[in-house]
Amino acid sequence: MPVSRSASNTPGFLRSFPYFSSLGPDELAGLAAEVVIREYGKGELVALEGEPCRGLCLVRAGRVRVFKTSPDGRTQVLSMAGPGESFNEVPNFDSGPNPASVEALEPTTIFLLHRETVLRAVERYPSVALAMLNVFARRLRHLTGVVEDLSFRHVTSRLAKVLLQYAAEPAPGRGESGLTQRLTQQEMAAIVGTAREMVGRSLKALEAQGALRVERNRIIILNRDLLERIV
Amino acid sequence: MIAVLPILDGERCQGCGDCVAGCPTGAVALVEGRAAIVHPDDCNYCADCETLCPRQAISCPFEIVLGD
Repeated sequence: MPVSRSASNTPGFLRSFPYFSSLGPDELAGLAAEVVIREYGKGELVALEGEPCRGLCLVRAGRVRVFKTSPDGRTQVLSMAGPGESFNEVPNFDSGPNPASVEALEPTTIFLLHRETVLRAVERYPSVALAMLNVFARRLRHLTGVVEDLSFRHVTSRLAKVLLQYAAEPAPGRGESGLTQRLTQQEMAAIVGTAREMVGRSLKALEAQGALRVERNRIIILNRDLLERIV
Repeated sequence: MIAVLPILDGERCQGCGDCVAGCPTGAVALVEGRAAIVHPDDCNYCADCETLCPRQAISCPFEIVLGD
């Protein structure tokens, strides 16, 4: 995992985040000087659940998934993050360990701001603190939705929801949530919170109902209304 | 038209052969110690190889699109 110090375009990149968008050039330059750039290969762990937090991670390029692992090895994806998105905010503020693991899904560049730098910025600039609160609120809403799905929806219903979500993404399919239109059945299982075999069975069930058709490497949604009713 | 095939990551593959043993159509074999789709016409994109691979060296992505 190669590590380097901040690059010349770092202030501009920092300004693209809501956290830092209201800061002036001098403040941004000061923060940029603290950035550590880390490069990760596909499949490499960016953060490990339970390990001490390194700081706030800003995705410059690539894509990561934030996930929890069960004792029997199953994974539950909590969120994805792509360019212009951040992760691992929480432990910066409660001094606890990383609440989840993070894996690079493709070659990924992370701009890391150490915890002390983040806390200093929050203390100095109220706009940074407010923007952090805004992101925390959004994350809480998202996680409340994940809990709702896992508690009240069965696997086929959860899968239907994911398919609708991904199909709605415009090509190349990378929005704020980091979603793309191409998913493996393994990835679907990790998002839905089940085993790959269950995804296969659910796809067959949805196909039998006429909601979709599986064509080699394509899942074609034939009846959106029906899929929405299943959700 | 050439059929879409599973994506193999030669750098991650360690040649354990789990995919070869598990492929229901015999489309996969080890070539120079790495997994390869040697009979592409036989591959039905069932994604069993993806599930079996302990190194996540094989992936079968699906495009998700709205109706015809």
